Amino acid sequence: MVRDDDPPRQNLGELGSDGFAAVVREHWTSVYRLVYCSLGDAHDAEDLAQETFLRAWNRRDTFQPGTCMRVWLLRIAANAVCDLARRRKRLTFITLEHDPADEQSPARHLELAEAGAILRIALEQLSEMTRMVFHLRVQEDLSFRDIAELVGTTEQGARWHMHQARTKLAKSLSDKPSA
Amino acid sequence: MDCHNVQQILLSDDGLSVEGFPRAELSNHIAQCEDCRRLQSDLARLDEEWRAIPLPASAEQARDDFLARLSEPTSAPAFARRRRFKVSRWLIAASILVALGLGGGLFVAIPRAEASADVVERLVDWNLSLARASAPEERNRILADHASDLSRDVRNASLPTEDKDLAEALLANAPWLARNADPLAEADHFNELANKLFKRLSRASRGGDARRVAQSARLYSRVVELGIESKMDVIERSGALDFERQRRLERLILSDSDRMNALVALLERAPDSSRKEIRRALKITNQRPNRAAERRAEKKNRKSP
Ligand SMILES: [Zn+2]
Repeated sequence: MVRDDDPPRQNLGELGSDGFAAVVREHWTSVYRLVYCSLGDAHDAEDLAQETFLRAWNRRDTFQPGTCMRVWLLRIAANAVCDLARRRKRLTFITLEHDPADEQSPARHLELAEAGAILRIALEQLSEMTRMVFHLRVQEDLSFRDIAELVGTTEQGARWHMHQARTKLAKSLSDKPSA
Repeated sequence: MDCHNVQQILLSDDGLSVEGFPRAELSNHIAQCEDCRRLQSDLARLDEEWRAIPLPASAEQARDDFLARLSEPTSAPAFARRRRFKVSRWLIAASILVALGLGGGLFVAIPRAEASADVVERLVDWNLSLARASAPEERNRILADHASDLSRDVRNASLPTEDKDLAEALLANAPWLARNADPLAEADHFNELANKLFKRLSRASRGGDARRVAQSARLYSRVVELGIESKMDVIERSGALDFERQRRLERLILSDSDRMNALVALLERAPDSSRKEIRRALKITNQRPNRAAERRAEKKNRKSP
């Protein structure tokens, strides 16, 4: 955890629900943002952010004092994103159709239009894994070593995803007429 | 150091922490090369744009809702619930697909030709009725009404070993279900039963026994819906859970989700001939009301005055 600037915390297992509420307040945006930027959907972000903190609460006795809370939570969130993406991919593969309720609602279009071009392009052109690596590097400023461990790849693999993300995003954005 | 090298470094990293390239050399090149400078500033803009992606307005509301529920005694199951319904919607869709795709339909009665399969089905329904009756007297009545008939039928039927074990477990559990009033213990019981039925379904699918697949899928989804999910609803409404019970509840949710994954994997191996049926079935399930969305709306309505 080379780049961690979070101060070491007390034992999470000893936190009561008040202490845990403070953890939620402090890290909610990081967790929510990771899910939102990986999946591009507010409902998913809401569900998986809640699931992340619920899992964290239920596993608080496994938290090692001295490790970085933010990275620990982001790892749980990244797992939740991967689980959900895997399930959806498999069902899509089987049915060869998207669930229109999940993918193409006017609300989702509006939401993505508000989110701006970069997220739309990222959702169209990058895999969840590539989006997550790019996000963790750019937004969370994590080392490639932490990122690799967090998303379950090698350091070299994480750098490759970063390269992919930047190459595709830079190209798509420069191809677009500036509006 | 040429442009290609420099640009590869810029694209794969921020250009500052790559070993083997002296930073000074990199900066010198960039200072003198307009192309590489432009790429560097494009990438910096990209990062800024990414960091500036606005979050949906609901993000903060979701956090506040979560915090509000954290301070309620029922917090944990309430958190788990949203997720569970999302998962179970897929699960139920998948069970329906298995049933429709591999023969027979979930909502279509199957002729009771085979007594052995029939007795298993009656036993499952009996267990579910016992768990669904709320008053102790009613449970005792249901127990007494069917116990001797069903025991006799199990003794007389020539059941395959798998079904014999299942039938005996269901018989043995009935008096316990009649006495027990703890929804979590009941959900645990039906969770085990769902695991057994899922194994039965997988084996039947491997053996190409369409009728048995259809029956197992039907029983399975009934047990998940009436034996597990409805009990979890009761648990949620019942208030505080201690730590141990919270863990048991989460284990139930995880095992529900594991089985759903396994069910989807089973579908992947379904023969080509059932794909068309499966797609048609999914369309049917898509047009059914979305339970997750319903629950969400319900929750919102309850909150607003
Ligand atoms: Zn150059």
